Amino acid sequence: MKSLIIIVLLLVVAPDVSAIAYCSLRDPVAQIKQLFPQKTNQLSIVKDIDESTRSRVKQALPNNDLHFSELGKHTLYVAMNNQDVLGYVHVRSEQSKWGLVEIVWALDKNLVIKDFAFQRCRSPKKALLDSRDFKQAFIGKNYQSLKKLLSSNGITANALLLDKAKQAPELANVVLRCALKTLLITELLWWRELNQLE
Amino acid sequence: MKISNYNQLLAIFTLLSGMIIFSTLWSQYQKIETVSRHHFESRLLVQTVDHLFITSQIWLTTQDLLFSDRQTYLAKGISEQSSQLIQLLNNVSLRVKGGESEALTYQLIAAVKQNDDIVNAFSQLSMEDISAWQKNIADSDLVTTGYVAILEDVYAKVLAENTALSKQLITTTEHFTTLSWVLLSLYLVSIVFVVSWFSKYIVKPIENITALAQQPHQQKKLEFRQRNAPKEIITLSSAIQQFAQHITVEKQKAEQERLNVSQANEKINTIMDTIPCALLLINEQGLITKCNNESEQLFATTKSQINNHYIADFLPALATLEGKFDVASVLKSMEESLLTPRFKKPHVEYSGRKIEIEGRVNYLITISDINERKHSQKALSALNDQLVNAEKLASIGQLSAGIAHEINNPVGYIRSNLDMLKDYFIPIVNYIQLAHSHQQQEDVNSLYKEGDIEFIVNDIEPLISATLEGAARVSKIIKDLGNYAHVDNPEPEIVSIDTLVEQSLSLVTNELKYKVEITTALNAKVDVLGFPQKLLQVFINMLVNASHAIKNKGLIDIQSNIIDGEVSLSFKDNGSGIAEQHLKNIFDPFFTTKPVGKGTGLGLHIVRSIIDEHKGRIDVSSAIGEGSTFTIYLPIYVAEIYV
Repeated sequence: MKSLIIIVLLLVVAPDVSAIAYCSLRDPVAQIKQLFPQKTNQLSIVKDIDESTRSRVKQALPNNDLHFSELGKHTLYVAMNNQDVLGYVHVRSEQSKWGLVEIVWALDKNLVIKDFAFQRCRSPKKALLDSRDFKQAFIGKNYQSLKKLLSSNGITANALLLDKAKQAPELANVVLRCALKTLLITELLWWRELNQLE
Repeated sequence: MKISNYNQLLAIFTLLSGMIIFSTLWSQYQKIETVSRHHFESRLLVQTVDHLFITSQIWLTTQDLLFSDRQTYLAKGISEQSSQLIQLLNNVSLRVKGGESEALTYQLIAAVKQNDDIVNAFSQLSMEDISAWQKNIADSDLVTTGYVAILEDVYAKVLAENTALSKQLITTTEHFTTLSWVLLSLYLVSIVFVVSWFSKYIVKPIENITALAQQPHQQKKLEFRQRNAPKEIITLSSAIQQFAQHITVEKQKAEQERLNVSQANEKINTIMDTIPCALLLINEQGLITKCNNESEQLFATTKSQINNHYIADFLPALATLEGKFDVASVLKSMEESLLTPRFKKPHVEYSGRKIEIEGRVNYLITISDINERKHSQKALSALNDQLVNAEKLASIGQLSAGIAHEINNPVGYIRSNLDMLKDYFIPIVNYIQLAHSHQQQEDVNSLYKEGDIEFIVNDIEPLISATLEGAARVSKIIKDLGNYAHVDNPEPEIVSIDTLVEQSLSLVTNELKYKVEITTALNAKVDVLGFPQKLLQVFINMLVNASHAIKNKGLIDIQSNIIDGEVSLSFKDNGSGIAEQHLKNIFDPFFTTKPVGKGTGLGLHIVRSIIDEHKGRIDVSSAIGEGSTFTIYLPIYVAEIYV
């Protein structure tokens, strides 16, 4: 029954699945499997990020609004263990020094960060952020708790986080902004579908 | 060592130290220049890499746009950006040539080209071929990630090199600054050391010598010699020491000489003040500069009233008609003169000598008071005149017998003639009375015959003539004698020397003619200025002395001539002559070889005094048994003709 609803829902919500969805995983099966090893199957929910979403993001994160190229279709992957939702995978790109950084975010059902991985990060400092110590600053945090890692200017990370990425502060800021946007947009844009999946 | 050697050493030291300092600083500066140039090039490289960074970021962002929006037209722009990147990378490779960065740069170029190939491949892909897209994107990400890693590595190296060069530049500059200060300090220390050394070794000895030389007069011996000094200063100090010693000795000598001079001055002053005549020192202008005590007595005033006054104020004879100092007059000797009329005793005698004192001409004049002498001279002159007259009278007395005889002869025949004329007088008177009584002619004739009137008349005239001639002879003798006895006028007269000789002969002929034959050759025929009676007395004395020298018969030869502008009058006899030992005394007063009572011994003395008075001289030559010759020389009178 649930599968049926999801299928129906997907058909309703994502009528154009064959259309190009940006910020998507390059190898969704493998990448989601890597993040959710119990995954048996997955779902993709494609939705448009429009100006209203952008406005809401701007309101929520005043100095961290979406840039123009982030508008459009975006895909949220749902990792499934048969009929059970294991979590969500959301790929977001964020402008950095060396072009867009694409981070694959693994969220649990409560929209708490479970893990993340870089799909694209040309900076050699990427390895610093791939460390467990740095990731631990994100893992287990939801949007509210993550927001506490922002400094007073609302753009850059606070000293607590930057202390974990002393050699790559700029990249750490990118990761934090990307995480906040990901959690916020996921909740703003996909909350209905995700609730239905549960 | 000599100062010149020190100077050379100093110059060499300065030159070498300057060269070392300059070359060191120059070398260091060149290092700075090199580092600075490298640093500049490094900064340019950093800027180029920065540019490369930005271009790369744009390049990657453009690719991201291509990947996100799949707008394949961006591939062309990306390709052009790739070309720019390659160009930039080539520039970087040129700048980093030879190092590890160059290899990395080539890797970057290769990555760009590789990525470019991938990007170009996008335009060939179908929009539907998502896996191909994803594969290409993944390939591109792989390439660009490597590119960024290399690029950051290159940037890090370039930046590190730039930082190192900056540090090196700062270090080198600091080294240069430090070295400059150190060298400058060393140089200043060296200069201070050299200057202090100079001061100690060269200047100090000179200051020591100067300080010693400037010390006030001290009795203790000054030591100018310097031991620790350059050779010249040692030599100089030794020379000064010797000079100082020499000065000390000379000073002692000078002091002794000053004492001697002082004593001599005292002596001179004593002599000057003791000398029995006024002694005056006069300068070239005739101003009295010094005088002795006797001057005060002579001029009856004080020295202060004498000094700084002109000598002519006291002695007018020493002034020319223009009133100037008469140098010619002052140099005369024993010149008699008169003081100015205000002096009661004006007669003085002065002598002057020219002397040089301290290079200036002065005149030393002695003035003697001769007033007493003048009085004595007057008395003596009167006495002398009396003596001359007495001698003259004595000679007259000697001549008197002859003169009497000479007078007696004419007087005798005058008397005889007068007796005859007296005898002739009565017959003449009778005859004249008879003739006047108008008697018969015959009576008259008879008386004329008887009285031998004709003879009487004829004889009267010769008798009268003879009488007159006798009277004339007597008159002449008396006149000559009178002339001889007559005292001369006080002023000399112009007289013929030959005439005077003849007059003397007329006076003595009667005395001498019986034993002396007198011959004369009076050829002078010139006048002399003199006193005729005195000269007559001389000649008579010569003749009488000559006659006395002749015992029985003899000759006297009188000659007058002009010899060497003088009248030469010689009286030569062939009498007994004068003994040689007496010749030098014959003119002395009261010298006589005649028996006592026969001669006064004043004759020749008076002769010489008269000759002296006539500015003449008398010589005598004699030989025993052969006779004597007295030669008198008198100046010829030359009439002054004023035009």
